[in-house]
Amino acid sequence: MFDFTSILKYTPFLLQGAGLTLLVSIASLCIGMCLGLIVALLRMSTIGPVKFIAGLYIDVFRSTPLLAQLMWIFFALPILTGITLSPFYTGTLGLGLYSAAYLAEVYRSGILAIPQGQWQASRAIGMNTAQLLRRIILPQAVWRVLPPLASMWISILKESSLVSAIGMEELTFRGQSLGNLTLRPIEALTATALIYFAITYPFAVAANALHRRYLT
Amino acid sequence: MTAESMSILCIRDLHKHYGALHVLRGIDLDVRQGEVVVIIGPSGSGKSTLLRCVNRLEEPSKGQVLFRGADITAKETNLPAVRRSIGMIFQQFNLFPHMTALQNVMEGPRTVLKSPRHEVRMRALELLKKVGLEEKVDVMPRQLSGGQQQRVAIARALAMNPEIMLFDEATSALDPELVGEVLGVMRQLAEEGMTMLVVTHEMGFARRVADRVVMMDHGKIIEHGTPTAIFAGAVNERTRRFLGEVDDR
Amino acid sequence: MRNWQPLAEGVAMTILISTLAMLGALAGGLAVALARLSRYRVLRALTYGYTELFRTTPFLVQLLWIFYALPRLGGPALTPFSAGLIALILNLSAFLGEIYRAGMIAIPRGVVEAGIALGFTGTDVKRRITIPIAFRQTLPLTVSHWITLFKETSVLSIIGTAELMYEARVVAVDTYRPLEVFTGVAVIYFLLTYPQSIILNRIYEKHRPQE
Repeated sequence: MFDFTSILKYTPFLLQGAGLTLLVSIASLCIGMCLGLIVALLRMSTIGPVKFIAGLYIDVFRSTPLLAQLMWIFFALPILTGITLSPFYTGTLGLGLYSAAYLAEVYRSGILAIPQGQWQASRAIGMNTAQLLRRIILPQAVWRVLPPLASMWISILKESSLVSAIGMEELTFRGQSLGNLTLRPIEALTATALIYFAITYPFAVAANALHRRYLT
Repeated sequence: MTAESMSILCIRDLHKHYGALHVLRGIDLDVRQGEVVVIIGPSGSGKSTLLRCVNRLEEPSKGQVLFRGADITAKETNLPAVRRSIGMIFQQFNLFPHMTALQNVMEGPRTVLKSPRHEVRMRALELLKKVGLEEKVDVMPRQLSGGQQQRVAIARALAMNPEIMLFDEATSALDPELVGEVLGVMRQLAEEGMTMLVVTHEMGFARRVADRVVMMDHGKIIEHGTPTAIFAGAVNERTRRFLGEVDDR
Repeated sequence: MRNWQPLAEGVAMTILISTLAMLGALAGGLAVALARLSRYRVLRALTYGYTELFRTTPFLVQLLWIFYALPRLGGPALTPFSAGLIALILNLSAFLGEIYRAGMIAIPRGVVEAGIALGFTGTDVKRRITIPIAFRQTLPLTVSHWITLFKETSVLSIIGTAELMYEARVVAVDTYRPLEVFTGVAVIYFLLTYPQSIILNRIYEKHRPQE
């Protein structure tokens, strides 16, 4: 009944998809981490409008589905700005903006969790804001941020599958195509699932270890 | 009529090992109906372990526990049924945190005895009144002091109409000023004729309330007798030393 | 703006599926947690495999598998609705199961012993102590997963379930106005989701300070 051999010869095809999955995920993570940090800092600003807009960004991107965001960037953005992005760039931008919103909150709680005393002591020594952020606050925040960051990375890897819906030929797209091509969706999709499992499981184990070490 | 036929609880040659650690080394103890037996001794002597073997929260490695003549260490024993008649009070109170004081006291009869709600509620209110907490009936455990929580725990155990009550260092986790209210309730129970097996550091209680005092050390009973005998003139050297080092209250 | 009716139906479907899936997953999650803590090694192992599988693979892949692959294994042909519902329940049960398991383990041993000392059977302990306490302690996490579930229903559009995202695509194609439609739908999602987070957080805060 099952015939995995028919799938086996397409392994390179699937693995190329996995490669694209990794590529888009890494790119999105980078965007998310950098943009997230900026948004987090803006969110903690003392300037009213800035704080509000940063907060709005976070709320919007966390209260709407990723798929809706991807659809918007792919179909609506071109009309608004005339720029048409390829599925890959749409995916990277969409995932990047989405993860930035979540990471901004992660960074913010990480920074806020540092006791007030650290800020006061740094200022008392004479540091300005930039220095105390760089030398005192951010290094301490890093430890608190690592576990949720690991979880975010795993989420990105999984959510990247949605980019198949706008036509990027990553792992899920190829898995589906393969199922249609060989008329064997069971084997194709099972293989796809197993590859995802193989990619994410090591990170899940690492994330668990991080959670145990840094959050308990 | 043998001593055993009058005893509610007979412990015979009880041993308990934790791996290589031999915590109970052959305990023999009888508790008669209505008796208050107080167990004293240094930390690590196995007092709590002994108590927990009686209702099999710990499994004895060897030996027997006879409750009302029946061997409850036997494999076929219906443990939940037996435990209904043995009440236990823990050092950490262990009230159910998601229930009010009243609900805590009602829980046993409702869930285990399946008694009707109305009856159970009336009895629970009586018991809470008996332990002096009639005003705290609808309060959650986290809002009660340690002494209050322990008194609720006693009411909860009493709701099951136990034949014997086990007290595992019932006041050791309490602030000093709260100890008295709990000891007071325990004393009241003793005067009403409850059979009690009490592990405690409260020597004043032992002296005034106990019918018999048992001294344990390194997993064995090294001496036992009436409070007068033990406190006034203990025979065993280690007992004397232990009593000399412990504060009297 | 004329085509509000399909979108309204989409919203109704989104709410319906979310609710049904949540109810199913609450039961499923409890079952999974209990199975993970069971005495039977086989049950523990099987459930562990299930939770790891469903938590490390993308939901979309799970959904596709259930919709396309499962019927071929001898089951009935599934409608997008039922396939979507099953997938959501299986997926969310895995996550909730982990959460409830952790909650159950965190209950102090003494409280369980108090129940045992009163004469509780194992079932009594689970029913009256373990499950209620674990459930209450993990409520914030359950709520946050509800919000995630609500948004996740959008993925069902890919297999044709007529929820909001699906209707959005239909209307966008019909009207040749993807900008207005997708922006409008994003706003609808925001208006449905954001207030829920705020309200639920506030309710949680209200009960919290008593501790």
